[in-house]
Amino acid sequence: MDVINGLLIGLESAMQPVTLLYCFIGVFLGTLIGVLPGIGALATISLLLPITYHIPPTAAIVMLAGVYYGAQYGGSTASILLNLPGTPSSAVACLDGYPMAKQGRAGVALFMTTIASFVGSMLGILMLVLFAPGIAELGLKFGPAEYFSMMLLGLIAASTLASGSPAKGLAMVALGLLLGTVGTDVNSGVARFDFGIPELMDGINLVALAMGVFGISEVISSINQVREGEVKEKITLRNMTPTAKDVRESIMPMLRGTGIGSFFGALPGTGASIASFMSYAVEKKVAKDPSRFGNGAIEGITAPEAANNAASQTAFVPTLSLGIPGDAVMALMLGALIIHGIQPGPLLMTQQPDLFWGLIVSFGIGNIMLMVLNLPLIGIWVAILRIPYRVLFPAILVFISLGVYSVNNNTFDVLMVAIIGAVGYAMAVLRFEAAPMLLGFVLGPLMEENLRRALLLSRGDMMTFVERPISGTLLAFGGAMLLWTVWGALKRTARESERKADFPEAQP
Amino acid sequence: MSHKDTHDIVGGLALTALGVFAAVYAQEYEFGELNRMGPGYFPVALGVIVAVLGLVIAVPAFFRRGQPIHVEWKTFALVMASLVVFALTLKLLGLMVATVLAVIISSLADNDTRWKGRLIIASGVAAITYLVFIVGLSMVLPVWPWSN
Repeated sequence: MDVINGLLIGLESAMQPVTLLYCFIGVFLGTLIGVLPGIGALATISLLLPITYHIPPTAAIVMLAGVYYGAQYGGSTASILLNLPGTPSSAVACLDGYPMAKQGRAGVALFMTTIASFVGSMLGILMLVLFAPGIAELGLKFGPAEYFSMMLLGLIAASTLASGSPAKGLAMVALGLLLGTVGTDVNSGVARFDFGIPELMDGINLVALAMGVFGISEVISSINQVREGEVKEKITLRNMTPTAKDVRESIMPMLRGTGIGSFFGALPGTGASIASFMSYAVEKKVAKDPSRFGNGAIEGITAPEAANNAASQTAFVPTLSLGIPGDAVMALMLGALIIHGIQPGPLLMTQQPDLFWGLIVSFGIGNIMLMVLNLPLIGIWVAILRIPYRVLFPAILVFISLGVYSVNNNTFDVLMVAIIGAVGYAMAVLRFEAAPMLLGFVLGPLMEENLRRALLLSRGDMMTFVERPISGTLLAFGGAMLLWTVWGALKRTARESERKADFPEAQP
Repeated sequence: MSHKDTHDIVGGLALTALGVFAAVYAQEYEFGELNRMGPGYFPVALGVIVAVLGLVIAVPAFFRRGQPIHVEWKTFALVMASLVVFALTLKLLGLMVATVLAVIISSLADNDTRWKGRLIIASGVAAITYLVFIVGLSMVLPVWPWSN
């Protein structure tokens, strides 16, 4: 009954003209940047953050969310047509999507991925509606110790489940936490690491950090990259219709993909990318004829697309119900909420029901808008893909600079972006993941606050984190995850050195 | 072919240096005790953790094979220059000039663009920027060198 009530409140909130407008802007922008390789949801959302200052909070979050899940629709377009993913989670769509395009079936591929994205999203929203309120109830029982342990678990998950060695992931998280301490400490009023620069007293600008690390470094890496293939085919509504066989073969993969996506989306540290990869692997495993994969098997695109869309919706479960972001983009969303003075967490559902439920209902509305944008209007996106990157990237750089400038009307921030961009590029070159760092940065101040409070309540007793049952369980999970990944890494290195001993000449 | 995993060595040592710096610099902030954590507690603890993890990353890398580090120096320098020039000229010369300068500089990074193309792109971006940021978002910015 509560859920029905909530949805009605949400419907009223989501149908406000302002909210509808920003929902449309969000999903439109999302599809656009999803289609374009070289600029992603993360960069765009951080660019839009300053703009959200001037619009009501619900509309703001609806728009940002629209960019996020909208990107999951557009991402596969470039994968299918150019063999170049528009978003990381669409990389898998290249494997069977591009072969389909080469077989003249690009239209069908685009159609089916849109349907798959829609199915995945709507079912993901259903999961969200079913589980978020329950988890929020559980979250009300959380004290500072539980929050700290939950965030720690989230950070450990983010750093160990991401690719690369767990040590690197953890180091990035710790670095992010450390960068989060820059600025004025709320508790004591002491300005930390400001080096006498007044602009640093408010801490490192979140927009500058996100833009620098993700936007600038991505642009530097993308310039002069060879772009394979050209969009030759004319896409019409007629050559987009799939055969009955296509539809029949796609139903179960879409459902499987949705299941996998919903699970991985809600888990902190994993998201759309991992969901789509796992979904592809599963489809290949259960297929009657696995050799079709890589040659235009329709399950190879419908399942992962359903998965990444479902994941992008259920990613909101921990964010909305507990205030714990599962990945870097969710961390930015949290940042946006905090900037608007809204306290994310279990109380959000009861204190701001129109925001909470309005957002969820707007997801449904947004997905319907996306169906329209992506099916009849697919021609727009195809045309945009014809724009060469060398025309786009100077514009992207200027937009980034202005976006960052607009936060404080301060050109210092643009210089900050340049510096952070340099560091971000160094990280990309050295193959250190930036997303865990952003998560650590956003969670850092919150973690410190909860740590302090928990220790205050326990009068300095560190054992309180283990003694309290929920906190202890969470820490146990975190510890287990840590041990499991370290074990895996050690096994891998042992196997590699064994291989080297057996084949000394085969060394690069 | 280098016989060490230079990516992790450089990255790990950089992290260690940063961590040590943070832990040492934060000494001047009050540490406090566990039950009343001061402003220095978290930074010092994190600095130590970062430094240790940096070593955990760097040391095994000495014994591992890896590929050479590949840096696009020209692209990097031009993108940086473009941003810095934009930042420094925005208020002095106005949005239009800053944008044109930034676009020209950054487009030098692309090997396929000719000078005619650069100028066309620069004017196009300047126009779009004006429409989006000045007209669309009502940002307060000097537009021309003679605007105040």
